[in-house]
Amino acid sequence: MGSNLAENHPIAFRFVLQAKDKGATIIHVDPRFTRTSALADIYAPIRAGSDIAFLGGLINYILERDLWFKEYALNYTNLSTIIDERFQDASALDGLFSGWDPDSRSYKYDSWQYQGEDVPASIAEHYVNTTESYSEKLRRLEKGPPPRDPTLKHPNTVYQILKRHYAVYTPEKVEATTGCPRAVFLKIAEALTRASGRERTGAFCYAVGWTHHTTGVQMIRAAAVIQALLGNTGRPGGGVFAFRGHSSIQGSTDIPTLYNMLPSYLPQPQAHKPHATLDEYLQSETPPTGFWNNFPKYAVSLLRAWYGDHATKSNQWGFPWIPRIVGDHSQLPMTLAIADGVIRGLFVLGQNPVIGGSNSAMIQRAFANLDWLVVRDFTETETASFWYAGKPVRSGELRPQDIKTEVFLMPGALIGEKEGTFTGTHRLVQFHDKIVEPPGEARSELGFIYHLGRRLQALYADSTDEKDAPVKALTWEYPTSGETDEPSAEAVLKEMNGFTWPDRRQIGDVHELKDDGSTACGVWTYAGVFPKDDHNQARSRRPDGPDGPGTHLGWGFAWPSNRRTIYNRAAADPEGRPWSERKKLIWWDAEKQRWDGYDVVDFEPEKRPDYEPDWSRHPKGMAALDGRSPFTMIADGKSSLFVPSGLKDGPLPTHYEPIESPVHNPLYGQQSSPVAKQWRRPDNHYHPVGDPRFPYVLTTYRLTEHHAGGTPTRSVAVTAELQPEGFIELTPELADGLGIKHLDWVVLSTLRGEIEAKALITERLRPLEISGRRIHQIGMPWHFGWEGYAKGDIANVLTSVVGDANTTMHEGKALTCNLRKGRLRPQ
Amino acid sequence: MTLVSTPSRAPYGREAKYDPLRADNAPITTYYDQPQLKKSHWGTRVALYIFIAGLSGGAQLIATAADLAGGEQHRGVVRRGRHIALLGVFFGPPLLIWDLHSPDRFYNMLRIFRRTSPMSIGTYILSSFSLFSLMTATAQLAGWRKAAQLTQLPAAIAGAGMTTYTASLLTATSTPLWAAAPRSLALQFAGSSFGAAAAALQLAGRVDGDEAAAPVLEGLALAATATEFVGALAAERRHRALGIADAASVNTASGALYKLGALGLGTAVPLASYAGKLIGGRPRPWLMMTTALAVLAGSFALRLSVLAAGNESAQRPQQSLRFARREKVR
Amino acid sequence: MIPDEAELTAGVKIEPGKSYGFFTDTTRCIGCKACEVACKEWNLLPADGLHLTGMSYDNTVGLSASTWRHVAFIEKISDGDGRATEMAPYQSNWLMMSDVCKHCHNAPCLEACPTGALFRTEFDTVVVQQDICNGCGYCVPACPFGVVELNMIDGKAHKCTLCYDRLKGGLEPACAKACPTDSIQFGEVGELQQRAHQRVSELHELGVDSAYLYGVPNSPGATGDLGHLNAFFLLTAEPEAYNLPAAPSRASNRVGPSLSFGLAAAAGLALAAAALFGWQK
Repeated sequence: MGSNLAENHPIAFRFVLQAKDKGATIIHVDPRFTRTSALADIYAPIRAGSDIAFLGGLINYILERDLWFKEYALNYTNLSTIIDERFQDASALDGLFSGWDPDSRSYKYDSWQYQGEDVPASIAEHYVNTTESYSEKLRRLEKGPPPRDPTLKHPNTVYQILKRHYAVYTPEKVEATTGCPRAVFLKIAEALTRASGRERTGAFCYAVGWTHHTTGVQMIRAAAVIQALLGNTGRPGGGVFAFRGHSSIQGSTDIPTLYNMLPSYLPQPQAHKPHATLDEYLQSETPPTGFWNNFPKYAVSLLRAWYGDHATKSNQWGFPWIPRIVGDHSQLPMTLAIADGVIRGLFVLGQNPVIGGSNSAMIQRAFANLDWLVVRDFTETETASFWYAGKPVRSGELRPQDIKTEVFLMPGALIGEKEGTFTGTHRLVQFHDKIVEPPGEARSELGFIYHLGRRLQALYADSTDEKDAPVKALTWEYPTSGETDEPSAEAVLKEMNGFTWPDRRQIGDVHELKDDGSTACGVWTYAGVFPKDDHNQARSRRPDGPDGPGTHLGWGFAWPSNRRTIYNRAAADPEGRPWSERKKLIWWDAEKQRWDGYDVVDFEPEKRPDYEPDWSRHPKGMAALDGRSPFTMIADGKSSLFVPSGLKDGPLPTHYEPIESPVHNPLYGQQSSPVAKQWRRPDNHYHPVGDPRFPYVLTTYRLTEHHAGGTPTRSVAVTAELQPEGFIELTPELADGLGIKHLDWVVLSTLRGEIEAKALITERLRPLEISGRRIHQIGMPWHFGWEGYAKGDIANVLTSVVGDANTTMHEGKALTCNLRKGRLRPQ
Repeated sequence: MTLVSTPSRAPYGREAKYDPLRADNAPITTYYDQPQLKKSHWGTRVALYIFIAGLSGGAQLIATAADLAGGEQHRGVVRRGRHIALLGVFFGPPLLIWDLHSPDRFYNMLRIFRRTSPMSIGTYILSSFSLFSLMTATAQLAGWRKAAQLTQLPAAIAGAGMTTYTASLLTATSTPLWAAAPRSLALQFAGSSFGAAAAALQLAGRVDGDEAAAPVLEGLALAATATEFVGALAAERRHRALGIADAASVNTASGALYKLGALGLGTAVPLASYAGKLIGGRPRPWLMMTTALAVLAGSFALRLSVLAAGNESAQRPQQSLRFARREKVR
Repeated sequence: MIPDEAELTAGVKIEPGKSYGFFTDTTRCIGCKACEVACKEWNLLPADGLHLTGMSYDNTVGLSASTWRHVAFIEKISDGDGRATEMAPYQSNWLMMSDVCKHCHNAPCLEACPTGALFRTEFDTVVVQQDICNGCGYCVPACPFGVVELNMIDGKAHKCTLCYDRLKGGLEPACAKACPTDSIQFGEVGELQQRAHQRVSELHELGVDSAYLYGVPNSPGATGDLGHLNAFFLLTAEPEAYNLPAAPSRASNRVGPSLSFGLAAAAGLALAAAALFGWQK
């Protein structure tokens, strides 16, 4: 679900077919019948954006029929945990949860906590806005296990709350909300729940078909809830797989290119949080229990890696030099800030935002406000040529001579022209070499950034200004080679791996990191990728062979610690035995008194399965987790079916309509996500619910034949010819109604803009009955633009700037639009 | 075109009895009506070559027959026949080389001999025909009657090949219109070649004022066009039996050319005209001249229209796919 | 360069004297067109043009002088009662098939070639030698599958070489190596045929009754004296749906009947001429 795996991750689909060869049932749930559906056993059509209704229906099916994996879920999830008595569920509040503050349009999270205990979130935003002192409250986690009722009878156990929450997600409601016929839904529910228990597992695969929604995070959460209930997490053949972008998107999250995180999921200091000093930062962001209790080691090692000799205990290892964020600085609000003249200059590397960004016409107008724009790519992209060929320029709204933006187009090296690593979906880091020198003045991103840094350091070398100190203090020395002084990517990877300070011996594993400044580590999760000076594990290519266990530990490096399945303690039963011979991965070896297995064990190697914390000693960190707590990154070691902290839109996945929808929410009075990020402004109007001017659902998508913004494929003739121009897909029924014939020109419109394309009429799309109304969906690939050989109007002219509350991810997968036959302008 | 699916009958797969000879005339589900075959690249040049090859081969054969079986009054036919044969010698190879897409490598044709390839067979037929026809004509010019009598035999044998191998050339392809009727197309081409040769000799005699052999040539032309006509009828039957369109029913210019040119001028007009005279019509020289011209025109039209109609049939998946259902799966 | 790389990528050691070919299993095809692109990249073939055809996702239409792998797309979303939801295992309802030169056992193109440019290699594949071909174009109508075609720029015939150059270097052909789902399998023909028969049985057991082989002995495609096809296919719809002929035939079989009939007619007419001349004498 949420993934068109065969089309967008064809290499990975190899493994889906291998699973099929072993008897797996492949289910594809998608608004369109795609090349993935063609290879599936069951295809379920659903309305774009209705995924949580579908998944909620599955959860209801599992709970109603008592199909969950008892031994697993009772021991490894927070199913029996008791939630604060003030908690009120969306089923009682017509779509909202307790703690809703209509003035700030946000939630207060007190009532979502465990009874008597506050729980820190496992990632980045550890801060809970409670009335009590935060650290005071968290400390209770050390005093005893979370309140539980193993009989599940307590009305506020997570189990009872789940049952109440999902009771309304009946097969009938699923059909009325998603449009998926009840019989098909039930077929899927039956097949899915069969893949559970000691002998069997099942997996969910998703991609941007889930993330590109205002409810994207909760869609993924809903799958996680199902998998935790069915016992399909941390086990071979189980899991919720995020199929990440080809351009090492997983790597760019790890390192990261995100504004609110330091490398490897450490929170970026925030001006409005108690982050003034390193001590405050560490104190407020370190959970007392679980693996994240190691946080100070990673933070201090990172500072050592960045500031080297300039970092000392007395200057807080350089912590004050790290810039503080003050709010949401992600791509969408940044684009608006450019439009409003707040941001004056922009670097664009490895991206083509004029094609890929929401509300493209607005973006182009915004870019015309910039003083300067640096675009690095291997050919001229739409982002680089917007000022003379863009949509507002062609329509006469803007004139090139009036656009003052100075555009620098810097030639970028292609993949074979530079060395570096890719990090894939399965956290697998693989190194690749340079095959040929880049032509002409083309340079790698690494070379560009490195030399830019060198020049900035030279520029500020003599400055005594305090604000220039961070630049001066930065360690920025990597060996270079060749005529172009190309820095060594391996040297960077060595720094990411970490080494001891000051003698610079490579560290072998994350456990060697210290919080006293004696280790430096750029990316703590990557510790072990370069364990010795002459051993780059990411370069290793030793497969297991056909008779091996299939974990392929000799192939590349999977973070953390070269572990292939995280939370794999869950692959053994509470007593430490493999759930079954068939699903064997790790186990407790009673003789050796340690864990053993085919994979790198994700648990303390010598912690017995029957270990219980000695609460009288106020255990911290891993010591506070018992021998049956596989989910070590979570403070209580249990999979969070119910999430007390860390989510802005509720502790349980709840179906909300997309911001633009042709129908009212069939499940609740609350129409769309109450906390979705919206920017209502003249250049970014949204369509009201059921607006008769925009009666159709539009979903944008990608094609196998093109790569993201299309730059690498539309500009190459032999790939351009495969999908030579933009098009839309629509149902024969809608086409008949509008008098549209195959390959006719049509115009699509929203309040953001209008575009034209040719129509492909296909039964791969089908009309859906939603709450008694017939809804038509239209699909449009978003790769196209005016550059290259394969051209077409930009689909993202139609989309709006709107974001998920947790991630500010846009909603390009579900919006409403109008469609008519004809051209934009008379020809 | 539509992407709306039509349910298909599938006689394939498990326990299915595959029956390629299914005689049903239900339209075959094609691939978006895209051609299933590639058409040949032959056009007017090759049509002209086939015409000339047939004409010159036929002329050499008739000349030889006249030389061996005829009397002194037929010496003109022998001489003119050997001259007409030179058309093939002088125009045949250049036309073919001109038709190559890498003509500078024409000599590679002589690199091998391949008996499965009428193109290769034809190369050697044309080469030997050219060699012996040239020798015969030279001997005749020099007045060496014995030498000419010796070389005319191989020239005539090659000439027989010249009249008909071009039908094999078309037939030994996958183009349905040609491939469907190997024997009848050979009859048509052989008949047409002889008809054209007889007509040309008739015209040439008339120009020379030597009409001694006219009755023989008229009779020969009658037999040749009758052969061609029988071939055309057989071809039509064969095409109909296979459920594919023949040249006459190709609904385009080439169909019209076949009907009016090949069948009309090439067979109907001469059959009527010669048969009329045979039955006892008065000899009308202008009518005979016109008939001879019609035969020549019809002979060229046959080649041109059959080439074009064949190329069209290759482009029509209904034709090629239906044709390719006739073979048995062994 | 890795010696005998095909052993690693396809489990095949490439040795002269053995028969090699492709088994293209359409039920594993996801229509990614990696084969088309890999082929064009390796063989340095140009694009054919930019045409949105509306033929589902097929915009390259068919095999040509510059397209040696071509993926066909056939939408059969509705089959029986409404648009499909429960479907046969593996590919169904949206059929995709990567077409290629069949490298026939008795190859009509090779048999038609008058120059010997088309020859059978030491790997039992059929290849056009570019330094010999003179562009007569006779192979073009000879091919019963519409594969080989002239390029009008260089005046030579072109088609899939089964990566003759790669085979010589011990490499798996580019398309098969690029195929992510093993829809295109490269190997020794005998072994591939065995594997294919087994695959059909497996599919039949899974209820895919429509699966059958095209181009193995005693099957559609391997008809009319063509013998088997070194590049053969597993299909689930009628051959015509994929633009394949159900029962193609060997063109050279028609040389004999045609030539003998024609020569007989010529001889008859020559005799008639002799008789007429003799009678008038």
